[in-house]
Amino acid sequence: MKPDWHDLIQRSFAGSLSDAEFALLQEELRRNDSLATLYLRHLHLTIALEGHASARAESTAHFEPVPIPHPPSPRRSPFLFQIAAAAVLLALLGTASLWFRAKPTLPFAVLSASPEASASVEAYRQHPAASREFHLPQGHLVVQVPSGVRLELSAPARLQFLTPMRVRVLSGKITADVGERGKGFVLETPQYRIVDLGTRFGVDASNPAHTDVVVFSGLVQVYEQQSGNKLSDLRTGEAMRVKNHRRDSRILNVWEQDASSQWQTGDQAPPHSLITKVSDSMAASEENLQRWPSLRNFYRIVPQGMREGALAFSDEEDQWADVPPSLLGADQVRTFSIDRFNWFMKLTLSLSEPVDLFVFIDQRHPVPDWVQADFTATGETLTLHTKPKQAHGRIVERIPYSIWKRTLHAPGDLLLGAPYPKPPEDRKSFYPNRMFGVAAKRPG
Amino acid sequence: MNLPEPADSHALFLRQYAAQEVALHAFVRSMLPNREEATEVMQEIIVVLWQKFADVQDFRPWAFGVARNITLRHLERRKRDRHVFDSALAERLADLSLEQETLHRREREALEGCLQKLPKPQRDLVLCAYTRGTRMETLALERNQTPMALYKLLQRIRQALLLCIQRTTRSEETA
Repeated sequence: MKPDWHDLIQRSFAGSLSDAEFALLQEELRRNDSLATLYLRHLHLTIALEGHASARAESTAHFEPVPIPHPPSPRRSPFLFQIAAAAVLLALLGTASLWFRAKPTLPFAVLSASPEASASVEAYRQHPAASREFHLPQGHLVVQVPSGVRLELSAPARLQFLTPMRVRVLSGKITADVGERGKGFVLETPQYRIVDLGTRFGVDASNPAHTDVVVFSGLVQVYEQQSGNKLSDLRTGEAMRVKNHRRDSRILNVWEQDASSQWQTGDQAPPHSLITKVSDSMAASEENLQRWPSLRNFYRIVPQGMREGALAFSDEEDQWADVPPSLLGADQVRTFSIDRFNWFMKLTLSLSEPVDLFVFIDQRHPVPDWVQADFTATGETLTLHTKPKQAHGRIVERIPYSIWKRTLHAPGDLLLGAPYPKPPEDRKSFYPNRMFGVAAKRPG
Repeated sequence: MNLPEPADSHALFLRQYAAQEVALHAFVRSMLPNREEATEVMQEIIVVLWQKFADVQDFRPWAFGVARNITLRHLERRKRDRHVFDSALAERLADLSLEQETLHRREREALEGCLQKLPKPQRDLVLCAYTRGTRMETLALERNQTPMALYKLLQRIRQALLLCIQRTTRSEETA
């Protein structure tokens, strides 16, 4: 009878083969490439399942703090070096469960720090046993924890480094860049737990009344701390404000500093931003949040963010290219790519001063009436490089966009229309315009 | 004030190691499939990587070379034990694992979506079964099943996941 190789392979991982079965498997693996490939596929599935299971266990377990010793220089004695290296590796592998008491040490490596933040780190290093709470009253700090996760802290912030895969934010704002190896990394606030599945995301717990979670790329899961109930999955370009007692609301705008990767939510725009608010006609009721998932999306407003290679949308990796000099340095609004299907959607921009307002329109289809009526074609163009997720960073399409301009002589609100005028009669042959782009510059 | 800890060799090592850790672990497991044993060997590997890191120009090939040597040495020590692959087969599997690394990385990425497609009870079960420290006999008892029935059920779930992963990676290839 032909052996069931799937069964033999799986039982070989569990160590439950008989001697005869093991000999048979070993012999066949030596001479059969297909079986060796099947063996490796099963092995990698097992490893990946173990990884997912660990991430899940990590996200629900509670750990004692594990300080990570800083490695000594190679000139130190071999004995001390071995001890420190062993402790580092234990922490790296997430298996450490002992306090390393020989010398007070930091649970992170500092990648960059403002002078005020350096002082906070020094203070923390001097008194590491004092509740292990790290306090950053002023400044900006970028650290890396031993799981490889990079954390950016903006003052004022208080947090605890519980394990290489778990950080508690008691208050303040923190941005995590998790990467492949840090999948399953957990940021927790007093009320919520955010589990990262490979992403860059931010949490703002500065206001005790609510927690803001903003996903810049990837996927996170938001859980209620006390009940363990999952509140939401959030993907690229999505955000939510979770208030006490689980009521959540939409975050409409996130302002970003393109160069420094700092960000802020809230109703108050940064003082230098020409665009103080972007809102849309999609009602953000609880019912509509379920009906229209895009209502988790936020508009990214990037003061002076218009440049070659700037991200075009909040929810995709598409980029602007061939940007003409007249647009460079303009304040940019990253709209939602998915709104190209929303014929009924209208955007309202709030502007803080007189501006030249630009919209970029997909050239392949008719220009919407509201653009024709209120804006003037500049004759300039730029290109949208589309990079869908499945293309893994490759440019799939180069779409020409025309640039239209309108000069606004006073601050105030301006209503923009939809990317196309009416709902399709025949959905199968319907190819909507790509979503438009928006930028603003002081008249010059 | 100077930075208290500049982006020094600590951070550099972490970054390089982090980028390769999943692949290194899989590479070691291809020669040494037992999870606990592979974890022990990985600890030995990371100490050596850390000790010799300062002199290395190209981290990846060097790290895989170190991992291969240490794992083979471990297998040599254990060659009289039951059910340990001989060194020649271990090396063959290691080579094949490196050749197919891109495919396996894509398969790992596809698993997340495939797990989400499973009915929740099956997803919970399979993740519970692969949590470190879970004993099949205890899990079967808790579920009021025989260990064999549980094993068969897990086998079916694995088959479904393998199929889904295969479909996903193929559709990505043709996209």
